[in-house]
Amino acid sequence: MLAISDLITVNFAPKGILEIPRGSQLLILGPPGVVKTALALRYLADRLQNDEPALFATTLWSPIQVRDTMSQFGGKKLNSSLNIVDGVSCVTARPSEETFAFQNLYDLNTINLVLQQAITAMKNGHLCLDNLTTLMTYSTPLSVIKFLQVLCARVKDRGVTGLYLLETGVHSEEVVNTLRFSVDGVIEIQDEEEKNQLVHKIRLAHLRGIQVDTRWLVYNELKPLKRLTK
Amino acid sequence: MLLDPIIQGGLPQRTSIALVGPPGSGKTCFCLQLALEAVKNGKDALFLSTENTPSTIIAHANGFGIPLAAKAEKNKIQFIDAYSWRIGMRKDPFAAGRVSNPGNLNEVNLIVTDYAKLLKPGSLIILDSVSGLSLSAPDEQRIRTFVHSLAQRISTLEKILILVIEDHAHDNKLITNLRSLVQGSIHTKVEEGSDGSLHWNIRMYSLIGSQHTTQWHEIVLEKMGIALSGGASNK
Repeated sequence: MLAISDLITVNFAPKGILEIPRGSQLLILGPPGVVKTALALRYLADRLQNDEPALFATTLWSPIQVRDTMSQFGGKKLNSSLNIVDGVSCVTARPSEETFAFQNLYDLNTINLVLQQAITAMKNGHLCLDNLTTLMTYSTPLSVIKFLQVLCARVKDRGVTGLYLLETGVHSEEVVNTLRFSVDGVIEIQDEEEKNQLVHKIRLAHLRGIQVDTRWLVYNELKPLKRLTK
Repeated sequence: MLLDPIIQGGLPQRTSIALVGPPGSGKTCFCLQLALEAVKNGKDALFLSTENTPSTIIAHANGFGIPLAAKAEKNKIQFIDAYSWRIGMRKDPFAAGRVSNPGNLNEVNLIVTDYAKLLKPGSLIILDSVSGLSLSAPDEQRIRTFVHSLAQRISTLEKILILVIEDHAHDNKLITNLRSLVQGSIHTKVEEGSDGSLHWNIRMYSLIGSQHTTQWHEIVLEKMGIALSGGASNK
């Protein structure tokens, strides 16, 4: 399965850069589906394997589902070291089993504070927020944009790398573009119909301050990485 | 089983799925077949209908060779009637519960979760359709939060939720948003064959944590219910 490090390795290998620069804030854009989450979880799994702290904030998958999916990438050991911020139990009105949980999904200030608390102990760690679209479901796009700008700055200040997931085809172009320039880099995912099946394509569209190769790569869960040539 | 050509072992527990397709593309029929299979596997099924009375649905299912009446009598398949409010709440013999005001999505949420709580883990909850509910809902925002909240609640209860959504009946952005709030999508479409006849097609677009095919399968009518063709349909 394709990982973010594949994008980086392929793109930057000649220059000797092998991973996303620390403290980068990346937006992962794509249609509803599983690729965005799988990509982010795979990234966190790789980081955990390096003994770096990782945090997954979810508003969409229950912590059980997140850990189930995570175990496909790295087994039980990684699962116990993955920190989860539970943004689901507040919707189901049940007490959360995780240390950190959102009380609701519409008070973005509190959500921001909970995330700050959760990353306090994670110097040089990695954060994934899945996803911004759910937050926009409970409040307005503009307030989520402001929320993300503050969050990104604070996360970056701690040297934590941030991945923020956003659905395409839901929000207006202005909202998506404003979010795109609020972060350091953008990973795009597209679905294409090919021979009656779905093919997921992925690319690093830009990364601030670094020249990137923006060609599409085929994301396939079964086969190894294949380069797309134009 | 119906879904075998798409996903081995059927739909996993705790998943919620948007079933999106144009009117008349076999969505309801597909759901009824899944409900029957769930019962045959020892689970329960809960069916909320905004488009027809439970008796009419059972009659329709019978027309497709899906025998539901006996299961409904044994309460293996329970119906929540969100249609009869239009005709003054006449009591339908197959209705286990009723929704008196489908525009009140909080009430719908509570009724569905209350009934779902009593079912076995892995049981199937079908909402046919979200589009029908949304016609009475005050605004789109409520539909979004309703879908998100219901999906999470059903997931916590270890059940499977299927939300039927009419394609082209809503703004595309709303449909994409609803799909993004659940854990997977199944799409249906109608295609015209070379002889001018119409064919129902279905595919699993995405589902978290599962290996599945994304190819289109044709829904074929058989003596006892419907089945999916193994191969790809014609483009």
